[in-house]
Amino acid sequence: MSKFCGACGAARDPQARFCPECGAPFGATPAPPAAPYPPAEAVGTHTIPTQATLPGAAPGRAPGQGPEQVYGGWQALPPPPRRSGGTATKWLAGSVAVVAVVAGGVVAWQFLKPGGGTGSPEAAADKFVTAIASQDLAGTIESIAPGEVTGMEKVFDSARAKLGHAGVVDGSGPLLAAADVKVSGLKFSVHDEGTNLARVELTAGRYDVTYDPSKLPSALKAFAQAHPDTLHASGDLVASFKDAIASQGACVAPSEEECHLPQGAASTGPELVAEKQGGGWYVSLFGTAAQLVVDSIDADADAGIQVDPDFKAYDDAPAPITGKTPQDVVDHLVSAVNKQDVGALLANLPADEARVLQPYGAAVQDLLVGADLQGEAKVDALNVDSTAEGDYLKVSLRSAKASADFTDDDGDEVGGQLTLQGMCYSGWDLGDTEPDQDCVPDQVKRTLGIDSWTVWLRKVSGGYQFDPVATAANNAATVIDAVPTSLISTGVQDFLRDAGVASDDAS
Amino acid sequence: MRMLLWAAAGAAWVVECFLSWTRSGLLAASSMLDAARLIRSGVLGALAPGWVAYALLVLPACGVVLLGTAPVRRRWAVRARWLVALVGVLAAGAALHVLVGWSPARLGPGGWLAVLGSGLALAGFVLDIGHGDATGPPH
Repeated sequence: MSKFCGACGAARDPQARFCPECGAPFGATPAPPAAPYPPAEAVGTHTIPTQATLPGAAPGRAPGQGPEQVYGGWQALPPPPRRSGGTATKWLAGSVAVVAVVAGGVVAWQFLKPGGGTGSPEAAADKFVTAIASQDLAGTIESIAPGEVTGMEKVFDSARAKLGHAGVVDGSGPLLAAADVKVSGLKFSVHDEGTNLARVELTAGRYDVTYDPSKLPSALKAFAQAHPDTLHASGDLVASFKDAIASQGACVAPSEEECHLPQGAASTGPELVAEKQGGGWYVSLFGTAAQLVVDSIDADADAGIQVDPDFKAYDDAPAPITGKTPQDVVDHLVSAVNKQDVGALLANLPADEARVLQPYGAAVQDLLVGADLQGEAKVDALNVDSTAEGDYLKVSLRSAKASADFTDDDGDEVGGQLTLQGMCYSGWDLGDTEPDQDCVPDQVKRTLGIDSWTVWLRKVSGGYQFDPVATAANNAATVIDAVPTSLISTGVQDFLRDAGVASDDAS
Repeated sequence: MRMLLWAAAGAAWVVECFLSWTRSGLLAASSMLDAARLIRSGVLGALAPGWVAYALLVLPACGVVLLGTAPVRRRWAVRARWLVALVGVLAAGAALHVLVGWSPARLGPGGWLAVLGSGLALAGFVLDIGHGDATGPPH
């Protein structure tokens, strides 16, 4: 069997019955020279040759003719010219196939690769700021340290659903559809504070905000009609932040009256704290909040305090402290409070939430040493109900008794006693003559959907740790789900009334 | 020409999963691939079940298939492209409905690429039909 097509000479697939290039059937013998035309004088009266009369003709086909050509008995067509682009087409086809394989591999790798985050602290900060501005929940969650956002998407989803029922959010668009925020020209300066920790300072950037009342949700339509003008604001992000810090200041004086505003100005732009976890960089909300407090305190010249976080404490963090039972967890927390050991206190919390706070805890530790507190706290008679929920232990408090008695270097005493029974409490501060006692009203319990004080412990290597993020997220989701939609609608009506706008709803 | 059309459609559907899909709101600063990874890792578990992570990859998977079969003219490849194109167009339509409610003003670069890929796939289908590829050389 020939390896090439007898008609056009293209390479032949042994399994194919027809040539992919010219369509000629394989197996035909090479065409003999075409028969000559009949003499001109016989054109008008000639007898059309039949298939059998033409030499070398395969039944049903003339030599060199494709399957679509009608057999006419005239001179057989010469074989089609060999396509000069055959090689180029093959190269192009091969290249496209290679691209397809590579593309599939890249998509699969990006989807399946372990860990997340970005490749650098500034990329994490950029993604965080951009996602917040564009109200992208997925982008925001992706840019924040995983331990700090676990469960928060449930809260967001519950809130969105509830607000949607109340008409405060429409459709599937952004939560604040009327506000279009754009940030641009973001530039960052990175201050490395160790292998896995960095402060990322925003050094340049602009914001542009457009408020379009026509995009307000249906529940606020009356407000939009009363104030139909589109508003626009833009400015420098860094300058705006510094102005905000200067106007807020930080008051660390013992009483509100002794605070002075405004006193200082931030010496730096807004700082985000980035942490490397699992090979990728994320923004740490806890670290960023702590850094903001530090920056605010440092900016308040009247406070006369400079807080210096010890970033080495991040790498030197104590080993995690865990408990086998809820009582153990509480005992370890109380022990750390009694030792006034902030590092140990933070070590009782999940590392992916609390380790980033170790540098700031070291600064608080210095302040505690200065205050020279003496005393202790105790938690007795702890009575709880525990329910396992995946990697968590839901702990509902039935009863407990706690007390604290501390004295500072001035001889001032701080402390008291607290007894919890279900959702009733009884307690007093040192110096009170009789206890203060009350219970959470049944109406409030029903409205908030809460019938006990509940915390969540996370299962980690060695036991359990109190998880503040899971506790906050689960309690918030419970409350949001329980809050009646009518309560939100009432709140909207009150807002419209305060704004001097008549609402469309009679409720 | 048809090969290039199909390849371009496939490339568009692959690239779209790396770009932000909307101009504001969900996936305005992240991509379909980011969302799929988050859902698969359980971080967005409260928002979407695990299978959604794989559903978000249907469009780029269709793109890879279109890219891979674009040079092949056999009847089976032609029919496969049509079927994959149909699946891809439906997936793109579902994403457009869920993410932007069919509003072009809210589309981001990824969304526009998905629309472009759908248009190119449709053009490739029309040209295939016009060229009689349905009755082309059998495999």
